[in-house]
Amino acid sequence: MTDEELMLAVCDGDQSAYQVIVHQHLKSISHYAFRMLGNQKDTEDITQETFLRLWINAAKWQSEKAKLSTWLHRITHNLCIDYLKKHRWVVTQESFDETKDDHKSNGYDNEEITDKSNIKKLNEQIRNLPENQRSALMLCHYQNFSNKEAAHIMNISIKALESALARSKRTLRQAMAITDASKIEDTKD
Amino acid sequence: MTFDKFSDLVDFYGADISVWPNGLREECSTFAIDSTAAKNLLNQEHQLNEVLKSQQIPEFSDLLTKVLYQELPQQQQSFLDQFLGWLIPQQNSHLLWWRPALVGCLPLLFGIIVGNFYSFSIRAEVNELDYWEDELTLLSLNDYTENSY
Repeated sequence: MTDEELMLAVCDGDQSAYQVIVHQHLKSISHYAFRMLGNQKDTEDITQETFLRLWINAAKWQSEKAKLSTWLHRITHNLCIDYLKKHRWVVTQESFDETKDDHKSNGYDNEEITDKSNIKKLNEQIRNLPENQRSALMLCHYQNFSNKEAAHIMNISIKALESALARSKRTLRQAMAITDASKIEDTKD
Repeated sequence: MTFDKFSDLVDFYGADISVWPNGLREECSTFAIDSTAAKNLLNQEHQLNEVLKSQQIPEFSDLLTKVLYQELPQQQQSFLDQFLGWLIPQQNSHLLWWRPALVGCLPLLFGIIVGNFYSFSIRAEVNELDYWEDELTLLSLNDYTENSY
């Protein structure tokens, strides 16, 4: 069945069509929410809410305007942004706690652990990116959306998206260059 | 092609030049071969991709069940659907027949109201005096045919 047929069935209250859509999109929606929020419980709440909104507002989806996956990601994006605005202090607190863990693990010499800690630092860097930059990176890199689709999801122009994408990548490349330099210094010692 | 432009394109479209917009591919591929800075930038972008790929997502083991079996509320309907649902309810109760009857009467009601309030520039040319005289003549029940003899 095509997305259009499934959504028409959902509009008629067909729960089996709803279940097919959930099976098709759950993974990408939950992964996107997790990459935006960084914690499991809120990711589950946002994912549930996304599919609940799909059920309630099924009639509002216009196939000629956006693909179903784009529309679902847009719902998730808006929910995540609202969540981050409301609970900003909680996220900051969690990031702070994880930074403390990073400092604890820095004492090990094992190369694999150092790599892991560098990845962790980079993840931390990703989490500290402004919301629009993080979202642009996640949508284009992980969710494989085109720049046009990602811009539609974020409700911004393609130019604004490309600018956010460029800034996020430059920040991360800089962070990688710093971790690489510290790695070289570690091996010298 | 300048390095800054190339750098922007790498940021916008990623490290895989084969998926870049058609018009840019050939020029950028040549530039990437000729320029050392471009090569380094592409390497950095590949490294960044690898690190980003290594990001792990936890397993959401019972999320599927939660989403599939969550209580689904009533769906939001368009105004027309809501109206039709009210007009012809799914449960065939005879007590609700007044609804289609009421809706059927609405054009009639509308016609009466419009007819009462608007003349649509149509004026009945009635001479009131003649009219009443005729009425009285008819009411008197006289046989006027007598006079003709």
